[in-house]
Amino acid sequence: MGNVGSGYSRRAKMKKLVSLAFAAGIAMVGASAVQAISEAEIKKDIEEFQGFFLKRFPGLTLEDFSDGVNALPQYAHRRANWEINMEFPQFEPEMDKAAEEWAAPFQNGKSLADCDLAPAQNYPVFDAASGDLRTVEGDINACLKANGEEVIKNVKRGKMARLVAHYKSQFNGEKMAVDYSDPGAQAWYEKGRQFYWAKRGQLNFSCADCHVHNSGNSARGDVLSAGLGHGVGFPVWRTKWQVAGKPWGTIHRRYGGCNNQVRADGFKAQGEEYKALEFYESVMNTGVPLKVPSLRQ
Amino acid sequence: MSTKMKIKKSADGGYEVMVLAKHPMETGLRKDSKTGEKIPAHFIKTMEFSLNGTAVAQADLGTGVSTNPLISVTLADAKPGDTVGVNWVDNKGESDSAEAAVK
Repeated sequence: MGNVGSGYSRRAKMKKLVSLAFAAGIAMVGASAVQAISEAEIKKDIEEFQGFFLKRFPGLTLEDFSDGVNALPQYAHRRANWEINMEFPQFEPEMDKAAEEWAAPFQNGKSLADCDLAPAQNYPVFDAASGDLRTVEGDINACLKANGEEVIKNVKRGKMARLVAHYKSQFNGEKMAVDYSDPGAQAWYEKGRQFYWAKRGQLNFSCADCHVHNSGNSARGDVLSAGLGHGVGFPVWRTKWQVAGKPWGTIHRRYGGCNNQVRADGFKAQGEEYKALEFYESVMNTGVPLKVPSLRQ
Repeated sequence: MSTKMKIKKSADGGYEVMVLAKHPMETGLRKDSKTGEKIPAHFIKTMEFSLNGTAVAQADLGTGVSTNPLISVTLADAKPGDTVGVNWVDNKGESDSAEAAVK
């Protein structure tokens, strides 16, 4: 049920992915079950992924994709509303609160401002020592733990989301630049790439089905965003989530929602699957400027 | 409840007053996912704008307006030094207001 690979041989899956890729006009160069992925191959992926969207939406520059779905011509009728709302966004009081929380002292006198975080445009960061991927959410909790403070349990919403938004917003305008030179990072990339292009759920959709092949098209009353730019506006304040009083969401919250929407089981926020997916999407966003937080539908 | 206001010069002349009200704007139709009961309606009914103490505009909101509404009006006669006020009342009789000077 939502689990990629169940019932398929790896070879058949790879074949399926490759034929899907060709259908989209993007060639998955050299991907085989045995050979490790290379930096050169990743660079080519980026070129082709970005090239696809720049061609599909002529007139848009790489920077325009920072706005997410709002950049697409098919969303033009709602963009004016979004622009007005972004002048006076509902998340403003929350961002003020987050700035206070960032500077608030721990028991030991230090604060989140003293945490050793990487520049926002470099996340997720591959940690060679542990083999793990560092996300902003993970680093915030690691820092809290290291300073004897309680970690934030809910890593998808509320306090964690606004803290991540506060941190990342300080780097707005910086172009995404994730380091994938280490073979360990490349393994995470491959995992994320496979997730993105694999079918899942009762609706049997991959991320690519909506956000590559059908980007700009409508799904009922909504316009499907382009995969290029996914995440550069996150965490987001969604008006849909606002109704139930939980407006903030990190990218992993959205991933879970998307999986639910194709009737697949979601995965754990800050778990391996979504970290890998975030890594892949972030690499595909190379050169797209950060614009955090965003107000979205 | 909190209400914030921003005023900026309008391209068409006058000043655009933007009001961001923190309000759940419950329609009364939504069900609580845990209890299955309908969440009672709680929404802003009227929002009145004033210029230097005199009422100049009134918005009749209702259940069609979403949570934490952003309402904007353009006041053609506003000029620097004026005080713009907003006051809203909801269906429970609760209210809030805000004030700002035109710069």
